[in-house]
Amino acid sequence: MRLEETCERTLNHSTDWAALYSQLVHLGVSDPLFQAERFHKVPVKFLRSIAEQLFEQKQQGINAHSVATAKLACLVYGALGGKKNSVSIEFFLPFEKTAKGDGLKDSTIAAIKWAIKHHSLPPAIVGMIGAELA
Amino acid sequence: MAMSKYSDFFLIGSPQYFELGEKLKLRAYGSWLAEEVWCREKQSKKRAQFTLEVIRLARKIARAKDISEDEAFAMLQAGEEERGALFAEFSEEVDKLMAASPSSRDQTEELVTLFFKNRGEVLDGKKWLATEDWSKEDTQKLPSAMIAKIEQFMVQEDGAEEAEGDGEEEDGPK
Repeated sequence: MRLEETCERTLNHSTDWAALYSQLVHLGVSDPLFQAERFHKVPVKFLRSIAEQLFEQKQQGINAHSVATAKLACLVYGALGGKKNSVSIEFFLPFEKTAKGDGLKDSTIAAIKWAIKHHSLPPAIVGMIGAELA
Repeated sequence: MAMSKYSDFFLIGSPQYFELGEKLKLRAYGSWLAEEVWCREKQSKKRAQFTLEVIRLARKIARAKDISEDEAFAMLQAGEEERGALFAEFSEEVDKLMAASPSSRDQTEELVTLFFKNRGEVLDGKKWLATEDWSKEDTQKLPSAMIAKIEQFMVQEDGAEEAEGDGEEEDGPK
């Protein structure tokens, strides 16, 4: 019976409040609004939105902390594989870039290009960031 | 309570209200609160559990009476007189099950009471006061037209959640 399946689904799939709460705590939310005694009074839509945003921020933070290692990995990969074997730094980052945070701003790229053109950056740095400006 | 780092996400500006006449209103958040969703899920589980019990009994009757499960299920939901003769030997079991049937009215009253506890405000003289101590008895005194209006507000507040598409309301016996 289809109705039976629907009932089973209702019984087995409901919001895991403990998981949502611990996710927020794990993501570093310490605001009084989210304390256990207030948690049940917070709009669900807001809770989900905050959890999503914090998760995204955490991923970006982990990526940021991994950039140096990823760049080194790129260099090693390039050195071992030869010039033809180039790989994007994102390949070595733990999380994929989100669609929203789409890299450097145009103004930043223009400034870096200006610095490169006027030899204001050490060649080693130029070598490391060159691929991202292309 | 002092404003917190995140409060302004939804508390900033003038709060929105759903007017229920001149002296009563409900705060609108554009979403159900966690406690309200928890209550609704608890009610849905209760209804689902009851429906499964009815299905289980319908199967038992169908086997004993050599009729289809759907037929037995439909008969169980029919009036007491209609099912009485056919299911005489199961009457005790049927009556016990039907007595445990979750009342739609009780569930609505429970949710409406919770909405008033969490969001209600009443005009006392010139001052709006929160109705945190709203009771089920208070809800029972509300006219049915107002209850219907509150249910409409609930749907409105739930709009965004529904659009995200869980909509897993079971169509079990009421």
